[in-house]
Amino acid sequence: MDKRNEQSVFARYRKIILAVILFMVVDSLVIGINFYNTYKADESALSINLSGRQGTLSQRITTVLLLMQRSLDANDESSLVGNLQDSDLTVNIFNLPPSVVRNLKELDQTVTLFDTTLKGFSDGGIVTGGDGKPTLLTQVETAVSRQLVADTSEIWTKYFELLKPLLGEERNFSVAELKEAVSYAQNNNLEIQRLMNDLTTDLETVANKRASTLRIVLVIGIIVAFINFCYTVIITLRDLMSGDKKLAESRNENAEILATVHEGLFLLNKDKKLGTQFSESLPRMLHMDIVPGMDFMPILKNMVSSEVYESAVDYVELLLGERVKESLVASLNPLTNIPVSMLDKFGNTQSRYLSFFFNRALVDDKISHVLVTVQDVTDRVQLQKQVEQAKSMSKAEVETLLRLAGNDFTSLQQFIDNTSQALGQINEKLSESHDDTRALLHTLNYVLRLVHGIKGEAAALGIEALEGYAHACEQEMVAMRESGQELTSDSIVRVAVLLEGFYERYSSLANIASRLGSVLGTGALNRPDAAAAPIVHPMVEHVTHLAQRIATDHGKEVEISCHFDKLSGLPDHIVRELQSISIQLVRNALVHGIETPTERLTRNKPRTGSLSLWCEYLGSGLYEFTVRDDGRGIVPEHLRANFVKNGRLTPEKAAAMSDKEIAGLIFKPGISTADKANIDAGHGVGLDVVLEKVDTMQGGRLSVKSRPDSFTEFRIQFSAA
Amino acid sequence: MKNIDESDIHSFVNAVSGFFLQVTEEKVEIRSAYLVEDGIKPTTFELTSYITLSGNYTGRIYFSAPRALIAHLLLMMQEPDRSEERLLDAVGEIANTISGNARKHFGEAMEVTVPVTQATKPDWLEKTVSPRSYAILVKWKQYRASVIVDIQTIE
Amino acid sequence: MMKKEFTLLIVDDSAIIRSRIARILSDPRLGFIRMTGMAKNGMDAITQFMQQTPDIVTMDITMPEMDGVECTEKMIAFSPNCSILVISALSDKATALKTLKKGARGFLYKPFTDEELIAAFLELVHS
Repeated sequence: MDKRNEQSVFARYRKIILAVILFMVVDSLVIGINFYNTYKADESALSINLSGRQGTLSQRITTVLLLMQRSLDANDESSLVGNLQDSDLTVNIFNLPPSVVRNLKELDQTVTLFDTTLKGFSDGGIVTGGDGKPTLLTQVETAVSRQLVADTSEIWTKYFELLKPLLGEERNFSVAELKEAVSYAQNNNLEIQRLMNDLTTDLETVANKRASTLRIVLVIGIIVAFINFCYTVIITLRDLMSGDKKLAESRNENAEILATVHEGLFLLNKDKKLGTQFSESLPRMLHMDIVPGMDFMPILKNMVSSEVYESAVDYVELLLGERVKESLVASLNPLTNIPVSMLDKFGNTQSRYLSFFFNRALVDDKISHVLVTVQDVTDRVQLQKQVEQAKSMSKAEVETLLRLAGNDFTSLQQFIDNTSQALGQINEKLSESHDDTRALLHTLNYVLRLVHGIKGEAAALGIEALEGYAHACEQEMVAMRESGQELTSDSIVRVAVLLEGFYERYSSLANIASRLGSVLGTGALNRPDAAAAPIVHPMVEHVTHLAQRIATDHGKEVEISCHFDKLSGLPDHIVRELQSISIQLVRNALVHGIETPTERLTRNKPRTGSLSLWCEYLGSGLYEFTVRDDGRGIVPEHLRANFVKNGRLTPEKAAAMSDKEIAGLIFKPGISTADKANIDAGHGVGLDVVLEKVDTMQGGRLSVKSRPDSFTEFRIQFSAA
Repeated sequence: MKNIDESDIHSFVNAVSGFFLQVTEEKVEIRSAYLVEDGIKPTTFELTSYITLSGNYTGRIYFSAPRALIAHLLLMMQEPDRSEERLLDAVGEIANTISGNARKHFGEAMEVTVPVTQATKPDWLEKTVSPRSYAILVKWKQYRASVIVDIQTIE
Repeated sequence: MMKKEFTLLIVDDSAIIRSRIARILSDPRLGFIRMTGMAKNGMDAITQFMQQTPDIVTMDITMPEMDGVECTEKMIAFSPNCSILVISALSDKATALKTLKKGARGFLYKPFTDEELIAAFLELVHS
């Protein structure tokens, strides 16, 4: 316990401590008064006793004197005295009868006693007490007593003078002297008696007065002590009661907290057993009966996977041990967002998410327990999921917005139209009957081609969300196609589900485009007419944008030149086709044609590759569209090796084919020369899309020229009559 | 709203397939799967039954088949009575099987109505069915039939 | 009770991480930590550890030659009082927990911020 604690203890009990100290002081006072009282009472009793005795002594002296005279009278005086003629004849003590001698001895004692006692009353001193022992007699205090003592002393002084001859060993007194003393005694005895009586009365009065005062003081003291005692008791009781009340309150608060808190709370001891108190919500959350002292780990074991359980055991043990730092291992808690299935009140299975948080409970800096908090985080987890979903959804929307903000409404609208058309075509294809694997493969290839087209256009417009989805679909469908024998008609359902996903993304895109279109004014989405066409054809930007992005992704450098002036006069549908075609060819050129800067340098080529696209009018409504790169060219040996490596061709078959036949394969579906599938190329779709599109164009013809290590050139001729 | 996936669709088709397999020892095969869209109608036949789901999943599942298919089915079940009533009973039974599988698949927290059956080609269906519902065409012997899945999940 | 000075050995196979931790040590709040060595693999770490017997070790998990789990075990066997802070990009909590069971005192996820590392060091030397 530290100092502060001590202080607080004193502060808490200060009232009680003060009350007890006061009680002790008052009690000591009362006891002191009592002692004083008793002492004073003893003193008074002595004085009263002795003053009473004075009266008796005076009487005794008188009596003795009278007895002596009578005894002398009775005897022959002459036998006692030497000279009978003279009245002041001295008495011969040897002739005195024995009774007189006894009387004389008594007189001695009595006079001495009276004298010393009177002096004691007057000045204070040691006197012989009633028991014959010396006792301290105090001077009388009141004026009345003093006067009485003084009066007595005055009488006594004379009396004592008269008695002196009768006292002592050598009694030498005359009969006259005795007579004189007797007569003085007879005259004054009563007075002395009266004075001493008065003194007794006065002393008694004083003693009574003092006794009653002291009694009052004592009673007051006792009353004060009693009040103090009551006060102490009340304070103590009140403090105890308020302490009890606080304790009860805190106990009630504890119980209330445990009853109302949403979280599951409980303590885990060193043996990983539950403590006696836990929140009422705990059994509900864990969906089981909880008994104090039950093992925690088996409860957990039923709720989580074995790996999570193992980790949880380790984690709890670490927290119960002293070695690790709690704050430094919190991130390793394996019991967050744990999915659990439970029965709801209708008895239906419900999946919830729980998080367990563990905190050490320290007593004297030692870990005594681990406090476990269980939270139902289902809402949070679901919200998180929704936010993530919304994020990916809104990503597409934001991208669309950016396109629109980039004044590119025409191409966006075009993309939306194209995509809608492509999705419709896919759906129609899916609705056809698939009676065998060949039909399935056919559909798969068809869908792949269209999806690849969408991917390319989405990439060109920078709509990454759709491009990414298209890529994912493509990968999955390629995997389906690769599975060969295992391909069943069930796969068609999967394709339909993928299509649904496409539709969903597409419609959110179309939605926002139309909403923004209406905000920006319908004119925004109208196609610009030929006269208002910009000097630089919009396709230039798309192609450049796409090419630069792919080049960056593949670590390549490229300079692009586009000459599309001749496109301005062409109908929209042809421009659209040409854009789709150039997207595929640019992708192909950058992935397969142009080398990395390092490779180009080793081949004595400029570091930056060049990619040119242009369109020429050949006359008679005939146009020629060319895409040329200065990359590695189409190398039949290279292609052959790749086809064999990919398992497309057997080594024998590859060897048997001519270079031209091998080169022709790049236009067949399912062929790619990129080693690994990536978003830009490699699924073996692309050039087949180009060929298909050229085929649908009026007078469409496709030709390829290439020289290894030098260039590749695709030429598309078409008629726009 | 969350979309259903192919396992949900398969559970319904498998119910139909299971029914045929049990009764005729010949299962049905999927021939096509597509989305009901503008211009692409759901495929329906003369006999149709459907169940309505409510709860976490809401919507309808339809089974539609030509009269000839159901008649053939009754024949294989050695049911001499091939009246309209019997035919409707049979499509209703198939819808019941779908309902049972739906319960198993989605859990009990879902209510399913008793099947409703109809003996004319339901032209109303293409108007009421939600866009992008799944239409799955199946084949049994030489016949075609369809399962139309028009459900959404609320989560 | 805080000792006046703590010695530190940094174990990580990434040079970037090593120099980053060393840089963060220049924070005035960590003036009491003196780096005595850096190791880029488990074997190297053990050799240096035995020579320097540092008070604190920052330990990577995935390393060539000897991984952090084994390394931690050996270090604790040699000097049970040293404080080992595991710094790892592991998404696998089980391995991290295993290292802690071998005697490491704390765990920090990669990537970490300067503040997180400083806080972890302060926590480690406290008490």
